[in-house]
Parts: sequence; C-alpha cells; structure tokens
Amino acid sequence: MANSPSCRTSPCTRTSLLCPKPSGKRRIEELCERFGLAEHLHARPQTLPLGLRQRLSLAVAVIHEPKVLILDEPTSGVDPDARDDFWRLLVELSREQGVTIFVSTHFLSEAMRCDRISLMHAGRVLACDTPRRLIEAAGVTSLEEAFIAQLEAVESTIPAVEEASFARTAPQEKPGAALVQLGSPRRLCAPRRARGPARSGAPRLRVLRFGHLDGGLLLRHISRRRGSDLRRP
Amino acid sequence: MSEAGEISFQGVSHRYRKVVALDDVSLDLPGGCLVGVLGPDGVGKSTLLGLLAGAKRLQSGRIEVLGGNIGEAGHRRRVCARIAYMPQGLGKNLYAELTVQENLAFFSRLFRQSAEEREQRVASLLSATGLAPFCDRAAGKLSGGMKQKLGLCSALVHDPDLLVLDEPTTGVDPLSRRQFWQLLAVLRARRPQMSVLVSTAYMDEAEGFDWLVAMDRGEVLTTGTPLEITEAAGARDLEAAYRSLLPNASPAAALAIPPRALHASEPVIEAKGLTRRFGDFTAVDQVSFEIEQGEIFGFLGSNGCGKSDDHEDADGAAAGQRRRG
Repeated sequence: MANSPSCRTSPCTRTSLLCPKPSGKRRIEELCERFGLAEHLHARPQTLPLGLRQRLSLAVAVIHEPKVLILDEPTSGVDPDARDDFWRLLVELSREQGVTIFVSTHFLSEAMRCDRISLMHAGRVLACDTPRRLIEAAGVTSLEEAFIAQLEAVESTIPAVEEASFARTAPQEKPGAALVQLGSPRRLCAPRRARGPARSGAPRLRVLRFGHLDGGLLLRHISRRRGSDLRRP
Repeated sequence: MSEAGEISFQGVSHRYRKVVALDDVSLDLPGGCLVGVLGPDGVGKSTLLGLLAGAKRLQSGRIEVLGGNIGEAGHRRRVCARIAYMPQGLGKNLYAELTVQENLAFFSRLFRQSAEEREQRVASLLSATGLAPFCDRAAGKLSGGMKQKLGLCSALVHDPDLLVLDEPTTGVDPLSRRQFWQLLAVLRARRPQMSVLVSTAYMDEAEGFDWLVAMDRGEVLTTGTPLEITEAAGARDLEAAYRSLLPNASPAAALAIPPRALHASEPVIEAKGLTRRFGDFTAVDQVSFEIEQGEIFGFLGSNGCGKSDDHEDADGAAAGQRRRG
C-alpha cells in the first residue's frame, strides 16, 4: 500500500517534508533543526546515508504531530551510532511529547530500551512485560536467555507442524528500503484520512515499513484495523 | 602463491552502477578457522563474500582462493566443487518444493557422489542437524531456523574446503541462532581443515569468531581476533570497538532513557484478541494488550521467511483476512 514507485523520485528533503498546514514551513524548519537535517535540505533521499534517511523518515512520519507512532524495524541496517541517534529522537518524542511508540526489532539491545516488550514467535505473544522483569522472571541474566527460555518452553508444546505452517509467512520486504516506501510526495503532503466518518481527536498514524517480522505484521495489523480494533478513551 | 585455505584480496573494487560496494580492498584472511566479516547492512559484506566464492564477477583486482585467482575461469572451474556458498536470505539455495531429503540428494548428485556415498552423507547430516524427523517435508514448509540448518547441510554435503555463509543468522530467532552456531561447531570439529567465512551484523555473535574483518562503506576498518580488536581500541566490548573505528566516531555519551512520567490516564490503546490470517495460516493469533500514553512498546521477534510474495499479494491477502475477537 505504501510502496509507490513515484517516491523514488521524491525530489528532496524539503519537499518530502512539505505539510499542508499554514504552519507547515515553521514545522519543517523546526524538524530539520531537531533531526539534524538542515544541511541536507536539497539532497535526494536515496543519496543520503541510511542512518540519515532513517531520521528523515521519522521526521516525515511525525510532521503532523501524531499521538501514536508505529515503526516497523526502523533501525535494521543502520550502524550502532546512528541507531543510538535514532533512539534519542524516539526517547524525546515519548518522554517530552507523550507520543506512544510501537517499535518492532530483532535487536535485543534495542528491545532492552523499550518500556515494555512483547516476545513474539509464530504469531504469538510468548511474554509481555518490562525487559527487566522478563529477565528476572526467567531467572537469567540477559534478555536473549530469557527469550530462549520462552522459546524452549514453547517448542515443547507447539507441534512442529504449526511452526511449519507459520514458515509460509506471506510477504517479505527488502530491508532498508526506508523512506522510498513512504509514498509519493503528494501523499506525504496530505496525511491519509481515516475512512468513514471523521473522528475528532483520533490519533493519526503513520507506518514506516522496513523489514518484516511477526511484530511487523502485528504493527501493520494494528495500523490498518485501528478503526475497529483499537478502542480509544 | 598462497597456502591452501588462505585467501588474499589485492586491490579489489566493485561497483553496482554508480554505487561503490568495495573500494580498493586488500586483505589477507587466515585459513582453517572461522573468519567473520562484520558490519551493518550495505557495507559490502555480501559483495566481498560473493566475489571470493566465485558467485559474482570480479570487476577489478585479484582474489587468491584455494591457490589461484578466482577471477580466472579455469581456476574457478577447478575449485568450485571445493567451495560451498550459502547466499543471504533463508533457504535461498534450497528448492522449496523438494523435500528435505530430496534437497540433500540433489546437491549430492550435483557433485557426482555415488548412491552409496550419498546415502551415508545425507543420513549423517540429517542426524547431526536433528532434521531427520522432517526428512519428508517440503523445504518450503520448514520454519526459518530449520531452513537455515538445511541450507547449511546442503552446502556441506560435498565436504568443501571453504564454506562461505552470508548472514546465516539474520532474522532467525535467538534459539535457532544458538542452535545454528552449535551445529556449525560440530561440523567444523568433524572437518577441522575447513575454512569458514561468515558475515554478520550482530556484534555479540562476532565475539565468538576466530578472526574478524570489520567493514564500513566498502572499506576494511580493521582485522584481527575479537580480543585484539577490542584491546587495540581500548574498548570494553566489540560493539564499542567497532564504533570507535568509524570515521566520524564521536565519544558520544551512552544513551540514557529517563523514566516515564506517570500519567494517571486510561490506556491510550487497548487491543483485544487481534487475529490475522493469510490464507490458511495465522500470523497473529489472539493478541491482546494495553498501552499507556507515551509508552515505548517493543515487539521482539524473528523474521517471517520465504521471500516470495510481493506487496500486492500481501495486500490482497490482507483484504481477504478475517478477524475474530
């Protein structure tokens, strides 16, 4: 759905960051400043290093100040330093602006940074808690061991056949395709409206699609089904 | 002339149109041990491995593998049966519609092994990997971890002298990852003279390799044992050492995450019994959770697998999905 070829030609950072509101210009300047994009305003996204492109993707995703942010493997293929930079922005969004963030990852070190995590396997949530408590509950010293303990417990109960049918996972996307998947500049200008009657105060969501994993499937599911499945206060 | 098992790169560059994947790389790799090529995606690991395995055409420079230049067709023909190459992506070297047993038999035939030899090798590999109970299952229906093991078996059926594994554990769950390294250790113990080259983006994995090549943007940052690299950088672990080697390394402070201010609010999102199916398989099964405002909520899991269907299929399947809950 978000994979339009025209975004490949997405002209430059500034256009990607266009926003329909009158306040758009100010917002762009503010974001460029905060996300360290100011020097790259006229660079084409595909010429940017991946870490920077990822930051641009995030800037594009938060341009309309959403309350909820959904990130599907945002840091695969990014070097450790750039990953930390990206997380600094996430922390800022969460702690200072109260943005709720869903993030999927297969890096254990990133999972440790989340307030809570779901350990997922074959479409099931094996456990869900703070990383610290998950480790303590398993009586081990690292999240990896805690995950392995959960997987071992599950493998003795789920028949192998079921695991095999899971292996037929439908789509797989190229990792690291980052920004180019976000949509055409025009779509970027006009954030997608929820179908059906407009709801005031409903959080508007943006999905960044990067890799593909169980968590990713779930994230996409949430973002698509937000109208019916997710109840908001 | 290099010793058997040793590999040397001399001035190797590789481009994909305008993109430089390898930039004048000169490098000597020791033989008979587990050599890791380390770095995030897009630094040229796969290109390096593909070139030395003879799977990619050499554009410039020279690579000595198994006593000759791999760029020469004659040498390549002579040594290709001694090299095993497992490309990136789960089960890329497998035939999805063949069973586990048939896949192994196919690779064995490819290397002209006799029926007797084939039977014996296939049986020994199946038992070593624990795949024996699944030998009649189509490779396409295996889980990610099992595909990975079968891929390794298929690569090893002809007793290669050089085993090249391109990101064998990316996107595999931690249990399968651990099992994969254990399996590789067993197979290496059986055949100690075999050289193994592995690429990975996981720094923690690389700690266990014999020798490392750290790469960044088509260039080699450093080489040596994990201990040498860590000590030379004066870092506490390999990840910190790798960071300090990056060209624009800054002694950035460790990322600190302040605790979340407690909002006395209702959950901002409440999901109950989410289920999502693709055809006859359930990707997300009865998942429920509540999320509070400002929370960073992570999903940790392995990749799906089977890089086959494209986006339209995915969206089509999504449109046909059913929900309960």
